[in-house]
Parts: sequence; structure tokens; C-alpha cells
Amino acid sequence: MEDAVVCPNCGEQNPADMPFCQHCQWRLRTLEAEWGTDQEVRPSNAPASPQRDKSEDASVPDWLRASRSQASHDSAAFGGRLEAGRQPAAPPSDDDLLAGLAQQDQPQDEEIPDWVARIVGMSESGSPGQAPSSENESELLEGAPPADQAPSAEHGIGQEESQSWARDSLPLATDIGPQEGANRYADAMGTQESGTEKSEINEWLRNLDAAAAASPEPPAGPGLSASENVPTWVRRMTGVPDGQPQETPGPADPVPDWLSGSPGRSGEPVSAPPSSLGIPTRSQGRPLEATDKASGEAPAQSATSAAISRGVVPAFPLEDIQKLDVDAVFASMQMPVWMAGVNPPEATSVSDLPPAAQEEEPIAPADLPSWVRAMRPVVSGVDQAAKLEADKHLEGRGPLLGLQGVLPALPGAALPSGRPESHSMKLDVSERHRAHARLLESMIAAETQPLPLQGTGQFRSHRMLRWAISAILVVGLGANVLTGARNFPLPAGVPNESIAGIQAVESLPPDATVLAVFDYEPATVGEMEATAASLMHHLLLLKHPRLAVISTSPTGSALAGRFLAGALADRAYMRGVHYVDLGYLPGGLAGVRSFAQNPTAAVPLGASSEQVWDSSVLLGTRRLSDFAAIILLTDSLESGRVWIEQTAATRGTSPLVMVASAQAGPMLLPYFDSGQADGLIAGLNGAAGAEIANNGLPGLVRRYWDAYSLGLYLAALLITLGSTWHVGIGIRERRAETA
Amino acid sequence: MRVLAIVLAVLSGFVVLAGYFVPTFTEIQIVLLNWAIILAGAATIVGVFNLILVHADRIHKREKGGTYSGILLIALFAAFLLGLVLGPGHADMRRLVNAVVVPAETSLMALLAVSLIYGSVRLLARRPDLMSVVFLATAVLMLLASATLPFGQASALNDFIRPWIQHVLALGGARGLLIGVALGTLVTGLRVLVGADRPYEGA
Repeated sequence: MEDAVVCPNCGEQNPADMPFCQHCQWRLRTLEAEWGTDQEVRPSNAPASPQRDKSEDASVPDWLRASRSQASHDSAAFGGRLEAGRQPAAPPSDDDLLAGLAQQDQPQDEEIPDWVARIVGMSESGSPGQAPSSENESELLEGAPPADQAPSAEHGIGQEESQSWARDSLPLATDIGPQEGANRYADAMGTQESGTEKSEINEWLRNLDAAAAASPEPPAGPGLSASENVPTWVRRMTGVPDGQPQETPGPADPVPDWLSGSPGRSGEPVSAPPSSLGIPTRSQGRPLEATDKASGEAPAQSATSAAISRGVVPAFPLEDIQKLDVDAVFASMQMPVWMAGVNPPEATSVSDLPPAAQEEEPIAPADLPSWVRAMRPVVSGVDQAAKLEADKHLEGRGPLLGLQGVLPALPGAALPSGRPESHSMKLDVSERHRAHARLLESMIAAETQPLPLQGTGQFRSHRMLRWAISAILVVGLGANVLTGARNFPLPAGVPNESIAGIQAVESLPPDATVLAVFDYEPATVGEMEATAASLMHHLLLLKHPRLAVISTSPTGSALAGRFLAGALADRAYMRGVHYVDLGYLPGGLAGVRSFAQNPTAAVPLGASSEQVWDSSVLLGTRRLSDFAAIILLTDSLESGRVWIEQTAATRGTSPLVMVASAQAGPMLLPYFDSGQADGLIAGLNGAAGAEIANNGLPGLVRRYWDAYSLGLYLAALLITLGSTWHVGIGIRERRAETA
Repeated sequence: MRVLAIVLAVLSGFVVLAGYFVPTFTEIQIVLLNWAIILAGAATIVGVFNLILVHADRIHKREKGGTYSGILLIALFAAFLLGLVLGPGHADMRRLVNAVVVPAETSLMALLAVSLIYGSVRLLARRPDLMSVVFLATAVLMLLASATLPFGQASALNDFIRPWIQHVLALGGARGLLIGVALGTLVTGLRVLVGADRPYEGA
């Protein structure tokens, strides 16, 4: 004999004496082999005597042996369930799953039920001791199906008929008719009760008896019809009185004795017993549904009555449910938080509802949002009918061999049906959204685009206005210059600052060294030369000074040469002889400060890199104070301010006379009023007095004065007319808007 | 390096400032100022090189206005070469300035006169408020007062109104501006001296 057996299912090794695989519970030995080797494991209907087994093994054919093994297996499963209901504390053996069944069936060894004997064919074999008593036999005859539906031992069928009948009786209870299943259950109950009247009754059945005894006698089922082939004891059990008129008279079935002590005896409802193999049937699985519909609808009543007629007693009787205070039951329950805030809907009676609503179902299916339906698992969508159909799948292999509906055999159950449906992340953009997006993009793009020009007509009018102004000025002033008209006299009054400047120049000693600073730009050459010409001409004419020319502008040196060679050409000042060009003084304020501190160090050479400090022009001149006067010709406030401030401490008593443009004059006037400057000639108005004082020489002011005055008048006229025009347009537009 | 720059700047500022009041620091002040003049001249050269690079890049990329950049560079190198050869005091150099620079800038100043008149005409159209009216009225008044009446002597505007406006209103405003500029310069100088402002660090 081998020590280990290899499981054909999982391939693991198991001990040789193990009937099932320790890993996958696969049956390692057939029942036939098990019967022959292991006498401790036997079904509940197996013979108890080993001698009898041996004699039967020799005489029983193979088909009967197979039928016995199958029947023993089914009976063991059924008996195990019953025993589990009676004795839940009995632990099964670790070695053998059927060990508990053997112990359970010990008291019944001597009393094998007749229906079991019929299944296994023991009645035909004529084995004594297993024949049912006459009492039990009469009970079975009362509840048994007609003789033409189930063969009996009295018919004396042959071996072939017995074999086919036994084969037909082997399928599970789902293949057995309801009536036959109920009868078999009644047989089983009667058999058990007859063997163990007090101790073998299920505990749940005892409890149900006690509850039923306390409840009053329920009325007869409304749907129970006498026309149906229902035994009398079943009708009594369901509460139908015998004397009640029946639509169709039926045979009065006597109540069997084994049911005399059952709760249905007194007409009290009993809970539905399990099916013959403990698998709940449809009627058992929907007791509440049947009860609810039985409260007011005829189809439900017929269903209930049909269930009762089939011998299936509902687990929850209709009377109990009607008497049950549902509100009290729910009030005693602790509601979850999310349900606590739900207000109950207003109670509306059925009669108050419109007719259309009364016809509808009491509980309408909820209208779930689309996203909720999308989130529901796919399993929930499986058709219930298909599920029930799949529950009929019969296990053909493995430890669940012969069982039905134990494992869900849903189509596609192996697939990950609970996986949520994948949704695309692509946005559902409508045309309206696209339009909004395009609008937003255009708005963002418009931020980076330059503002378009205004209307062409307006732009053209502006350009025409500019051209008109230019034309008026050019034509008017050009005509005045070209004609040489003298229509505008010079101003009679001479400003005080101009008089002070002229006096400062006149106070200089003859042949003195004068520093002339040319700090103006070529743009203002016309105005600056005309403004400075009279003063410089007056100076050169009266004092014949030696000039040192310097500039903080790169073009200053050239402008100085232009001025001396142009406006003062009649003075015939020669460079190197009458004046020296110190050139460009860089550094701005620092350069001016440095030059004020030490002129020879700041500008050691002239503009042409010649030695200027040792020349005859600057002879004896080494410091700023050695210059007899400083004539500052500037067109900017900054330049005048720097020369005034940075040379104030070093120039000593030398006067500083400023010649400024009309633009910079008013800003430099405070330096004259404060005494920091000794004279100021600003613009043509200031230069007019100096020219008058110089006997009209060199005459530049007089030459420019008419054009200058005419230009001022034209400018004032254009500004006045233009402003008046725009004010009128503005007023008209406002009136139009107001209107 | 940063601390060293701050120390040098502050120390130089205090030395130059002390040179105005203490004769001892005058020589040091002169030296520092001469350094500043040299650096300013070098900065001018750097500016000229930057001008050349910018316009040369514009020509290389064939950008809009590249022709004018070419003319600018040609004029620049021509003037530079003539200045090196002839010298800035040469008669031809002065003739060049008088024939090119002075007319060009004077023409720009004339355009400025036209633009100012145009702007004054459009002022009330763009901002018609009281200050614009006051501004235009003052401008027109000073224009008329600065000129003399044709075919006659100076009017009251030229003899009384214009001097009064120039010596009262304009002088007061100019003094206020100069005082403001002086205070701003003083504060800025003190901040640079104490290191609060460090314009020499750049950026």
C-alpha cells in the first residue's frame, strides 16, 4: 500500500488514508473504495452491519452500488444540514468531513426512511429491517403523489424499471416537483420524528412553534382554493376550516399522526421549511414580496396560495406582518446619520392619488442621474433571470461535485466585472464653448497688438492742420525775411538785467583777459548769436579784451569760431592772436569745478593741442580769478547753474555776465536777482536794449525782430483760433449727446 | 569687492566735499576731479563705440532704417578722420559744422516751434479743463507781450504786463524750482555720501 497519494486536481501529495485532499479538498477515493476500506465513514442510510455490507457487496450490481454512493452522498449532505440545525455545537472531525454525518445517523441506523429505501432500491432487494412500519406507510401513501407519477414497491416493478426510476430519482430537489419535494420533506420529518420525537426536532422549528402558539389563529388564506390538490392536513395547517365551502370539493385528506404535534396542526402558520436538500426555492426566497402583494392584489394571493398548495409554508405569515408595527420596528433602530436628516414624505393614501397614480407601482424606480448610473458596477446590471438561470449550474467536478448553485456561475463572472467603466478625459466642448474660447483668444491677442490708428479722416485732418500751421509760419516769416520789412519797432524798455550786463561789460578794464564760455547747442545758434552779438560787440568795441574760449559742449569750440568769424566779423578777432580756444571741457560739473580750481591743470592745452597758457593772449593768467570777466553764453539752465555755482568761490571779484536764450532766461533770472550773476541778457527782448545801447550794432536783433514779432503773433493767433474751434466742437458734441 | 567700492565712493565724496571748506583737501580734490574728467572722456569714447556697434548691427540685420545707420556711420568715420588729420580748429572742420550740424539742428528747432503750436491748438480738444485754459492764456499773453505792435511803439503789454509776469510770476516759479532742485541735489548727495544710494553698483 502506498504511503502518499497524489491529488489529481492540485498535484499535492496527501496521506494514503485521507479521503480528501488536504489542499484542495478533492476526493481522493471513490465512494465505492471508501465503502470497502473505511467502514467508519458511511452515509446515514448505509447499512449498519458489516456482515450485511459484505453480503450486499457481493450481490448488489454495479449500477446499484453507484446509485447508493450517490444517494449516500446526498443524504449525508441533507442530514448534515439538519444536524447542524439541531446540534450546532457538534464539531466535525478534522480528518473526515463526513464523520459528523456518521455520528448523526447512528440513531437512525435501525430506521431507514421508506423514501430513502425507495431511492436506493432497498425495498426491491427485500432487505428486512428497512421496511417502513404500516403507520408510516399509510402516511406516505396519503401524501405521496399519484401512483402513476412515482413507482412504489407494491407495483412490483422489474429490475429495469427500478433502475430507471432510481436514476430519475437521483437528481437534486430542483428537478423534483414541488409537491413531491414537499412530500419527501414530510417523509423526512416524519421519519426523524418517529425516531427521535423529542430530541431530533430542529431548534428553529421549536422556536417557530412557540411563536406560532402565542399568535391567534390566522384566517384562511384568501387564495387557497379547494380545487387544488391539497391534502386536508395541509389545508388545516394553513388555517382553512374544513367546513368552509369550497369551490371545488376535494378529497378530505386525513392529517397524519406525525403532523399532529406540528404547529400547522392548529392552523397556525409555520415558517417555511427548507427544501428537501436545504437549497432555498424561489418561493422561500421571496416571502416578504409574496406577503406584500397578498395584502391587496389578486396575483399575489394566488401566488401565496400556490405556494401553500405546494406545501411551502411562508416563513413570515401574512397575519404576522400585517400585525407588525413597522414604524415601531424602524423607530427602535438606530438610523445612520445620513438617514436622520431625511424627512419622511407626506403620507398619501391610495385613494387620494389620481387614478393613473393608483395603477402605478407603489415604489417607482428611482430616476438616477446619468453619472450615478455610470458609476454603478457592471454586476448590478446583470439580468436577474440570467442569474437564476446560472444558479442551476451543476458542479461536475471537485469537492462541490453534485451541488448546484453554490458558486455563482454568471457569464463573464471571471472577468473583472466590478471594474468601473473607463471614461475619456476629453472635454465635451460645444460650439458655444468654442466660440467663447475664440473670443477669449482674440481678446488676449489684442492686448499685444498695437492700437490701430484712428479714423483716416481724423488722421488726415490732423496732418492737414500741421501742414497748415507750417505753411502759415513759413510763408509769413519767409516773406518778412525776404522783404526785409521793418514794421515792428524794437522795444523801448530795456530790462534791468540787461542794463546790468552792459554796465558790467563797460566796467571792465581795457585789454583785459575775458573768459567766454560757449555752452549752447547748434540748434539755438540763431537765437544765441543774435542775443550775444550786441553785448560781445559792445565789449570788443569798447575794451578790446583778450578772449579765452571754452565750452562744455563738444560743438562749442566750433560755434565759438563761427560766432567770432560771423557775428563779430567786423571786430576781426583772430585765433591765437586775439583769442585762444581752450576747446572742450569734459566732465560736466566736475570739469567746471576742476577748471575753476586750476584752469591750467584742467585744460593744459588748447583745442589744437597748442600751448595756450603761455601765449600772449593768456599771459599772466593762471587762475580763474585772473580773468577780468566771465561771459557765459548758454541756452540751458543746467549749464548756467553749474558755472555760477562752481565758480562762485574761485572767480573772486570778476563779474559773471550771462547771455541766455529766451527759454533759459527766466530760470536764470533768480541768480541775477540774488547777486550771483552780474548781468543777464535773455533772448531778443533782452538783447534789444543792449543793441540799442551799442548804437544798433551789429544789428542782428533788428534784422530778426520783425520776423520774431510776426512769428509770435501768428503763433498766438493760431493757438487762439484752434482752441476756440475745438471748444466749439466740444460744446456741440456735448449738446448732441445731451439731446 | 562691493564693500571696497562703497568705501572708495564714500571716501572720495567726503574728500571732494571737504575740499570746498578745507584748503588742505583742495589738492586731493583736484586730483580726484581730474580722474573724474578722464573717466568721463573715456565714457564718451565708450559711448561712441556703442553707437557704432548698434548701428552696425542694424545694418547687418538689414533692419528698417539701416540706410540711415549707414549714413550715420559714414559721417562719423569721416568726421573722425578729418578731425585727426586736420584738427578740430581747422577752417574746414568749422565749415563742416556750420554747413551740416547747425542747419540740421536749427531745422529741428523750427519743427519744434510748429509742433508746439500744433500741440497748443489741440490741447483743449484733448484736455478741456481749467488748467489747460490757464496754460494757453498765459502762453498767448506772453507771446503777445514779447512782441511789439506793428507800426507803433511798444504797448502796455510789452512795457508793464510782460515784465511783471516775468519778474514776479516767472521769477517766483523759477526760484521755487531752483530751491527744489537744490534740496533734491543735497539729499541725493548726502545719500550717496552715507552709502544709502550706490549708483556706482549699476543696475
